[in-house]
Amino acid sequence: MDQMKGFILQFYRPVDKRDMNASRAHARARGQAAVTDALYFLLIVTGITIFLFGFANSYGVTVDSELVKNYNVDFTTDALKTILYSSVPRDPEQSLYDNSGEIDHLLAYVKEDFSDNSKLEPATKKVLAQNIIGIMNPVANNFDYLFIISVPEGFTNPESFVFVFFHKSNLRPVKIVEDGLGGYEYHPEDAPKRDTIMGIPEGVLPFTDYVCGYEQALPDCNPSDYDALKIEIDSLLSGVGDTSQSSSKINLPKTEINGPGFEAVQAQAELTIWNATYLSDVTANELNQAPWNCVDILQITC
Amino acid sequence: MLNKGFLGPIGDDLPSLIPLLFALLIFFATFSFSYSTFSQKNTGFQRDLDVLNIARVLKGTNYVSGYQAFLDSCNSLNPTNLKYRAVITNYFTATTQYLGLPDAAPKEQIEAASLGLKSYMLEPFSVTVGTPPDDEKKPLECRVDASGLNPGFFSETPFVVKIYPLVVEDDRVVKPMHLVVVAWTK
Repeated sequence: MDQMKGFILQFYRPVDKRDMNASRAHARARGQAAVTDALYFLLIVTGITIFLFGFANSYGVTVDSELVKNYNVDFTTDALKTILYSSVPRDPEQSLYDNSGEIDHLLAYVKEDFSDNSKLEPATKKVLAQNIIGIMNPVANNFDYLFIISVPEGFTNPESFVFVFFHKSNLRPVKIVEDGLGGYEYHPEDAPKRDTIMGIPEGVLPFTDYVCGYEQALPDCNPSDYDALKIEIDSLLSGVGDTSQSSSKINLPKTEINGPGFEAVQAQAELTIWNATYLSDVTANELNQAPWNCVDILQITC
Repeated sequence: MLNKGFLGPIGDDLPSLIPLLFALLIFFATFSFSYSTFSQKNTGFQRDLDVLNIARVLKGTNYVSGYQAFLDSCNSLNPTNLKYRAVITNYFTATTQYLGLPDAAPKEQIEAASLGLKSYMLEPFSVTVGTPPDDEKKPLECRVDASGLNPGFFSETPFVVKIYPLVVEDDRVVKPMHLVVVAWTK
């Protein structure tokens, strides 16, 4: 019997109250430590998660913008090549697809015209401009661009702009106003305000194509001052943001002063495009004045 | 009375398991979101790069000397996991000619005729092949998927369009046109 009692007691021992309290305190402390560990873990994971989330959102933004930039440069280069390779009708009223029209290579046409007096006739400018407008048509609504043929200073020729073509969007500050028919209209504002956006006001063409660099209003149609116009163009390009530019050398012939032959003038053809931008300091009025001397392609006189 | 409050090895740590599980949940949710974002963006970039490569091969030096030259370039393409349609069109440079209108057509008429015309539906320009009287017109089109392309298809399928200017020699006239490449992965 005593043996059995001893056997049972070795498994069953009356619990001491002090032991029990100590055990509870120990368990509670262990539980608190586990919660604290878990909270630290949560803190670390939250940090990692925020980093991962931010990284996922910003991932590819640089690659995306590089791809767009590359495409714009590609487009500009291709457009310049296409402009210079193209054939054109010699009569601006005719089409390239008109079988009765006289077709020539654009560069041949330009060279022939330039060789007389180092200037381009209005018909040549129109043909050149129409060709550029057609080629740049896919990006015309989103981009502004400038196509320039210029002659750098040489032994026998002064610096000059032979042809300046400016495609400019008519963006300006506008206010969105309800038209009463459930739609909205863009009304022009004089200057940007808090509730204005950049847009094309009602009744205004989205863009205008200008030919610049010659004093159209004067009978002798003198070219604009080269340095002044160069400064204006550089100033314009420095304020429009990212640009994509492509340029190519072209040989233009010029009649020799003392002889029957021609001399080659190394000219430069440049095409620069940029996202259509509102330019507060290049207004239509300023474009009409020197040194820009721009006129709408439809009103070109010289 | 013995072991009062003891719920077992897991039950005892229950309060600490809640933030732990919550942390694991948000971690895997964010991981899964990030992974799908990476995957989606990478697919987009790969598609863009493939389109650039297709366009680079097709346009060459930007001077397409004829149908055979274009066909040779087209046959040299073999993109994987990408379906595309590339056409050379005169829609942008000779809109009236493309729409079958007279050259002096008013702007309103041109706009009305081109209403609803999408870049992926543009018709290819047909160049003259051979000499009269055995000459024929062949379209400058290169595609890998023969399935019907329509606005309904493209409203459900993400696609990329790239346009590049180039010239095409047709009947000894060098005509400015555009290469339009439309690509999708579905």
